[in-house]
Amino acid sequence: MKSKIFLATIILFISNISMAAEDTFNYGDFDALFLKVMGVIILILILAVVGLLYLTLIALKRVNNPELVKADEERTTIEKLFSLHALKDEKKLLLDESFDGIVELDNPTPPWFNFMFYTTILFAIAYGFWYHYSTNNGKLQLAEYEQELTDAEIAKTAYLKKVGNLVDESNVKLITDANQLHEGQEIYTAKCAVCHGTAGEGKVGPNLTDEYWIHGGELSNIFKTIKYGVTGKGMIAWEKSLNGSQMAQLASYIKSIGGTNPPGALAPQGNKMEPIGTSTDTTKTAIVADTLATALK
Amino acid sequence: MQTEKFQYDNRIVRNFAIATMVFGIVGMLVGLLVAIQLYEPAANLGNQYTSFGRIRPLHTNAIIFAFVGNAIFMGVYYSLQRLCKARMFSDLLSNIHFWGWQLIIVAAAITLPLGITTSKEYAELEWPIDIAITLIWVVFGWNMFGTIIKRRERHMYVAIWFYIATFVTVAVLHIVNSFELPISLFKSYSFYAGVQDALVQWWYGHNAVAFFLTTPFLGMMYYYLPKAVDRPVYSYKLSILHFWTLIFLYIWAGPHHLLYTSLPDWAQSLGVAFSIMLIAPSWGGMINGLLTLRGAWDKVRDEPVLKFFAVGITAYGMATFEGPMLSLKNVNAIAHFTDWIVAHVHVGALGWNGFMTFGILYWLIPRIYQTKLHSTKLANFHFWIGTLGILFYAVPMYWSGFTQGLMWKEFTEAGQLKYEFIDTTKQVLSLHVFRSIGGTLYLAGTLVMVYNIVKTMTAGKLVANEAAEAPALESNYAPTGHASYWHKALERKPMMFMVLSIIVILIGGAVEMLPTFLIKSNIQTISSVKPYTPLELHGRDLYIREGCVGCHSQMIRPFRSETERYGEYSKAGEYVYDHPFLWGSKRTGPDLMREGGKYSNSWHYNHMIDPRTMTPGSIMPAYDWLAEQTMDVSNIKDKINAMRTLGVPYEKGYEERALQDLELQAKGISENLALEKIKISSDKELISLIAYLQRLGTDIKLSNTTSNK
Repeated sequence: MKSKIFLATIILFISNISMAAEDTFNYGDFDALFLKVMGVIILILILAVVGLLYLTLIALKRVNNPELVKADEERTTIEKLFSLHALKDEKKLLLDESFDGIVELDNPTPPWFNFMFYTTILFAIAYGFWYHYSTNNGKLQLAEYEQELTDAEIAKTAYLKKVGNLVDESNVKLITDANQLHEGQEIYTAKCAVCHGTAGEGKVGPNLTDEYWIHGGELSNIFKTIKYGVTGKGMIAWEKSLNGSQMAQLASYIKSIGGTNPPGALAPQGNKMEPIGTSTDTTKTAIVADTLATALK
Repeated sequence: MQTEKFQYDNRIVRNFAIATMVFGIVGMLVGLLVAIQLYEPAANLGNQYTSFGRIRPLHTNAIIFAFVGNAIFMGVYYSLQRLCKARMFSDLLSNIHFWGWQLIIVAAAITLPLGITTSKEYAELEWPIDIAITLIWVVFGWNMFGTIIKRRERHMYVAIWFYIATFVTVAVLHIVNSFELPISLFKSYSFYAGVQDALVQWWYGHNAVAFFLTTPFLGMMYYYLPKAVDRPVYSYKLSILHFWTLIFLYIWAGPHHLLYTSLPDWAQSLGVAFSIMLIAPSWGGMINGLLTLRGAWDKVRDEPVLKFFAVGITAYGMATFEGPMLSLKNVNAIAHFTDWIVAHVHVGALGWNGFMTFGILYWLIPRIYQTKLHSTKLANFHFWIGTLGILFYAVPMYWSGFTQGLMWKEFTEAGQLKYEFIDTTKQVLSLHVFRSIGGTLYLAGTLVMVYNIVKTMTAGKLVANEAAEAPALESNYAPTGHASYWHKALERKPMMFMVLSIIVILIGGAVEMLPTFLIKSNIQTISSVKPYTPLELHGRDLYIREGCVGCHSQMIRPFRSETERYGEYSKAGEYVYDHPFLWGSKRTGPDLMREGGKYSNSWHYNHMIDPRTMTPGSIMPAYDWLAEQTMDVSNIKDKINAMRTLGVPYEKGYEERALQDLELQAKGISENLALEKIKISSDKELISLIAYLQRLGTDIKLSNTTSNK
């Protein structure tokens, strides 16, 4: 029985390997033949070990000492659970060999231990079936991932519908409310100041207080730069951690510090901002070009 | 029947005992230093040789191979002689083993801080040392089997079964995982790449835990515990069952270190299933140990040796239950890459390996010095402060692990990541302070023990050669009674026992590895994934030298929380040129799989010079020396050739142009930095590291960008 369970597990996994492998990979003819031969060899090896294990289990089952049966009836639950005999009967269980004075008892394996072992073996088989064989099977990691994305998208859409928070680059409006600008400032201090300086004077990232903009100085351009980042130049895409209104607050705050001319300001970079909006397409082209340049090198 | 007189060699046992104590203190001190570095970057001491990335492997190697390794040899050399009723096979081999092993440890202590490393966890030592380990291990095995063969005891006791399994399996693991192609005396590339390298490494890594930290200690438990408590071993049959099932099942479980990675699904499932089946065989050892204490718990109250054993065995039981739980996919999704794993291994290392070693030392030293332990009171003090140390270590680390795992995965209702990576770093800092306090307590206890043992040694006198006598084995033997039990036949045949053990342990590895290897030529390749440029390859070697992999993974698992934070999940085909793989096993810092193009070169420059200017609150060490040291490009040709030998498709003759390409690319980066007013000449090491970081993960980003256009 036990050996069959074991055998089943192992056969399951072996056939499973070839199945799973065939799904994913293309074998050449040689590889396929070689794999089959290897599979057979491995199967024989496993059978040998399972046989050995089976023998072990049979051997372990042997009732050890009929004299002890009577005393056993007086045992406590704990003692039964551990297949323990009364301490005073221990002498009858001693094996007739000692190793540097160490002797061993002929106790059987505790029943709960065996139960636990069989349960874990059943679990292992069920696990294999659930993930690799059943028609309505458990989701392997990529399917699980797809599901996670779908669920998240649904939840997100529902939430945004509820709160009506759908500010994006097409509808972003300049905020002038002092409280909101203050919140924009807090975001700026937490996330932007490291690279652009505490007053927007520019450090690793460009100066944000002058009239020169690399990716456009209109509110919607700034919003987009914050949202999508500039790949290859170190500007992070913040859409993963800031929502639309937060980005609107931040972009408005950045507009608000224009012309403050803080000490230590970096030299201008990019184009002087034209009073009337710049083409939004240039930003996207620049991003792609940068990526290509980095990757091609 | 002629009684033969012979002598046990106690001097070799004493030597290994001293080495155990010395390297225990060293390993724990280094451990304490790296623990402090995780909340106080100044503890990196401002130089490259003591920076976290380089000395974290020094800590793990010192504890595993120096402290625990010497403890194993101490425990085996004492018990094996007595269980075989024979002196060690050869005093010369014993001494070569002892001094050879210590030399290996010294070599490790020198090379690891110098940044000479293969980067494969617990197998960091470079190829010449790998060869030395193989030779010394063979000396150990030769000496051990020599002793077993000339034994005066008919049957091999269960302790010896575990010693045999330890010897053969560690040999197989070490040799297979150390396949590497040397390019110079101190540098080699792993024979395997990417997914295959990961599979081999974690087959090795997991079974190093199994066959270096577990089986030898189970063997020693079977000798020292019944000796110390003077009680019979609970169940001979349980010994048989849990020995064979343990060594058979353990070897399959390696892939549970790679759940949700690019390892094929079937291999991951095998890892999970076999990890679960491991619970019972592991607990078999614990039950047999704890039930041997039955009827003698009053002795445990009085005798510090037994206290150490009882807590050690309990820690073993807890860790071997927790391990399979951590292998479950949903638990692993949270625990992997966090401090939870660190807590888990330390329950095993501090509780099981440490406490068993301490117990054995307290028991054995007074015996070979024919005296009493200097102070039972101090030993009891050691027990309590050590236990407290484990608690102070483990509880904050579990807490920290849960915190990291949950914070990394948390989203706002609007569907955005709630925390940035640095928020999670700051959140767990205070817990790391507590952890180092726990470590200090444990170390203090160990120091008390060393004092106590040294006092004991000076009070007594070493019985270097202990007289013993036993009858020789008769050649014609017919088993009767208990000896006719089927397993007893195996116990009379050490060589057959060894061969059988090898077969049993080879199966799991073979089933998992062969399919993964045979498909090598057909693994899903991604046409846009190209070999590294010479400069990037050089930078990658620096990444390995500085031990960046100790804190940064390069494996984005397919979870929304990871793809949102780091980018597209990792594909097996992206790693085909990675000799060795650098997936990492811990995220003290963020994943770097798709670091390329995320920040500007100047950001990286500033960040490496002083990480806190770019990321306030960062605990990363500064790597300012990289901007001062000049790249050693003398062997770039050899590197290209070696990579080609390993299957990386550099075109024929490319090695001749490699240096030129390297200089050109370096110049480009240096000029780009100059635009942002950063002056660094193009031959500095930092340039190549930046080149490598900017390349990471971009091959696949490029194809996405173009296809999405």
